[in-house]
Amino acid sequence: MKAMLFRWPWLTAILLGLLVGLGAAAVAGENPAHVLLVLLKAAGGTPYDLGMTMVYTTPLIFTGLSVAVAYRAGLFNIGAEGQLVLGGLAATAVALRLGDLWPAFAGSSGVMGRIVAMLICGLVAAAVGGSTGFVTGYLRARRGSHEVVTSIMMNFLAMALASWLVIEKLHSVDTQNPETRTVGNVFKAVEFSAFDGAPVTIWFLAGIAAAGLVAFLFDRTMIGFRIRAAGENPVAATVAGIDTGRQMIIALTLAGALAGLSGLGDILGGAGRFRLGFSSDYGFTGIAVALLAGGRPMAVVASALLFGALHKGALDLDFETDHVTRDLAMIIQGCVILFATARWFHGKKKS
Amino acid sequence: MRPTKNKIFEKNEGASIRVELRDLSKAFGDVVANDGVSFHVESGEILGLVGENGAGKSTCMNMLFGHIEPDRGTILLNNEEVRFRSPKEAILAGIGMVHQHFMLAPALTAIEHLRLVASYKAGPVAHQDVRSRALQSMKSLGFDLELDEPVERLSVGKQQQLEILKVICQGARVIILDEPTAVLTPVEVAPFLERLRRLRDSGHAVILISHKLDEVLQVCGRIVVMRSGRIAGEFDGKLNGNEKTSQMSIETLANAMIGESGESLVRDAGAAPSESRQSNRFSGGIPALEIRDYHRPTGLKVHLSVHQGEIVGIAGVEGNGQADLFKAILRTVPGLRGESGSICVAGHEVVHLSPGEVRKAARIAVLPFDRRSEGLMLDADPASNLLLSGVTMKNHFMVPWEQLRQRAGNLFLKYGIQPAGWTGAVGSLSGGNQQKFLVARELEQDPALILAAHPTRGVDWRSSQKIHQALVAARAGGVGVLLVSSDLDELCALSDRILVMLRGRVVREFSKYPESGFDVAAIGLAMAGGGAS
Repeated sequence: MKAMLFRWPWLTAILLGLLVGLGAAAVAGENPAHVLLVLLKAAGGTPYDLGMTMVYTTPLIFTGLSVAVAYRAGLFNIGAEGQLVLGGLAATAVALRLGDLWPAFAGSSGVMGRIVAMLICGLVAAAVGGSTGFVTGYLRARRGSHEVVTSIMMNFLAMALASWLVIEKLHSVDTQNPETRTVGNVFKAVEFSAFDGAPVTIWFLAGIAAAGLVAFLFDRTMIGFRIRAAGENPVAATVAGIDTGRQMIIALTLAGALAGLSGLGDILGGAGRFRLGFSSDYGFTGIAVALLAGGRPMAVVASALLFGALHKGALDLDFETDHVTRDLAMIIQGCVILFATARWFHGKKKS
Repeated sequence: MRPTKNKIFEKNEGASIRVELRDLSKAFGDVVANDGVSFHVESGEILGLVGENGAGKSTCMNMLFGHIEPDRGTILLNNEEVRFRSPKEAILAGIGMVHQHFMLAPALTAIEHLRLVASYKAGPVAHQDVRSRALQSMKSLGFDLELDEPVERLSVGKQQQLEILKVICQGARVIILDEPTAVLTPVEVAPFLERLRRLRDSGHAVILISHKLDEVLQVCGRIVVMRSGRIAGEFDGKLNGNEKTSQMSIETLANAMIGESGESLVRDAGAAPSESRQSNRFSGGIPALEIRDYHRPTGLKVHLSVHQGEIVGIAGVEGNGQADLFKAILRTVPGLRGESGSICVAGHEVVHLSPGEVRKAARIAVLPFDRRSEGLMLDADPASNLLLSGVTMKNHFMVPWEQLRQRAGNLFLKYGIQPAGWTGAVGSLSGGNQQKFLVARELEQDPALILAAHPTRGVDWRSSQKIHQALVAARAGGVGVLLVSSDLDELCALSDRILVMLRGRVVREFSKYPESGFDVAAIGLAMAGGGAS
């Protein structure tokens, strides 16, 4: 038991988190076994349920990676929420504009066209998210403003800017909801049909690929090594001739770019338009995802899947139980993170 | 006057106090920090406690102040045995300590600090009483502190007065001052020493820890010298009456501090290869390091050169600019307006370069002042740490991990780093092995210049020998070495020349005599700021 605690601290954290959550459900008057069953069934009982879990997982992979990249450089990226809104909105705006200029292209559905469209949207979203991250990185590295403070502030700026753009500039005339027009067919993300209509898009696979790329970057390349060195021991890195400020800027820009991509699965899949408030705090849940994964890119995928499943599973608690609601997921999430970070403390004490 | 309210200031006042340390010993792992330390101090005297870095002064004072518990030995307070399990217990017993780094809240005023501590011993105290008694203490001790100014607006000297006032308010009768004059400007020193005398005359027992021997000699009636965790000598001025000056002088103290261990094994390390090296020296090549009239407004003013195949030692009490000198060469401090002069490494001017550009311009090996914080990634494996060196930082895209792992394995074998074949975190290696690994990484890169700070600090004897041999071998290979060390034996054994740094300047240069080596006593004197310069 003790060996397991130390070898797989993340598993310990998950189990303890579940235990506390189910304990809370029991106190509220539910049968914990029933609650657990509802959670499991709702998260993956049918292909549709599994598909919805993957839909929720997709943005969390990107935001989790975003936070993990910054974490490797010894930084906290709280700005993922704003970055994903701006990145998603920019991609939508570009797609709409291109649709106006070349209606024929926007209406087409050829494979090559869709690949080009996906690349365009991806690049725009990453560029806009990345520049938002760059601002935070620049302020931290060259002006000394703490990245937590500036990235939180950037979130507010991003939300305000997005509201103004959606309502004043890009608003659809067909609806009173705060949303844009629908993008052309070619820009809609490829969806998998195996999930009974759950809009699982190609961006889920893109997320896994991104995790692979980030892992490669940190494990194999000098760029990743320099960021790691600057994060693990900035003083020693400076003595060795590494410009740590530059590494901070690179890391936060990369983090911003990854966060910028997070919204594309939701926006371009399904509805095909940008809706204000489409993100249910993906950016902030990404922090939890990265913490549980200990900043390791491939573990971020697994961690995102867990949080996605929890999110989906908890939705059914509203209907299937009498005394608890979907908020139980928040209790479990919170406890998992608490136990996952307690592990760090333990490690520090030991050394 | 309401005597009860004032009792915190008056408790014990007039009554004399005597503290005696008897045979105190403390070991940290294999390192014996204190070995049978005994001395005493009593009301009405200032006791000087001097010794080199690592001589055991801090450990000793930390035991007296309850920070750490001794392995062996006792503390007697007024001839009664006491045990302090925490600083709080020591404070309640009347022992106060003024740390070298002040413990003050910048936004609070002086009087607020005093109110905070006044209730520590005797319970709540009326604000007015704290002020009136503080003013009285200040008057009798000659303090000129503004009680209502926030600490951030007080000069360092006045902050120090506040620290002393704080321990008096806590009811301290024995006051330990750790390097109090290190933070003072030269003009502040004389008034400070005068205040110490008044403190002594008011019945306090004062223990003064200092590196500055002239100041210690001015105010201390008795001086205890520590070396390698033991008492190396006790000098009493009072006993000898008129002969005080002959008994207690900078020379005798410096000798006691440094020790005259002629049998030092270290000396042998440098002796043998020094002959073969002569051909390399002054071969007309470009100096490995040439600093011409370099001036940095933070108080560094240096002019020196290190030739190829030469080891130049820097002696000096720590904090006299040695670390700044390294940083200036490596450019790890930002450039400053008013910075002037030139620093050439192997012929390349570096003053206007960034740290990365310096490392590209010339091959420099660095053994930094603090290996853990400045040299290694403690959580990473040896291969990653090999990469963290200015010399190997090449413009690769991919990291050649396989090659690095192999190289790390080979270095472990070649330098006898234990355990061989280690692939875990470098931070799990023992301190000595960490240092050996660092030496291996830095010296195996064919550097033109080696900057070595305390290369054998905290390293056992056998490993020290290996590190010395590596430095001497580098010299034989034509590398220039700038060696900073607080271990004079080490400096004398390895160096071809020794420069003494004091307050950011090179104040004296010593050459090696062919027969007798260096004049150790004169070096010690120069380090303390004495002697003809």
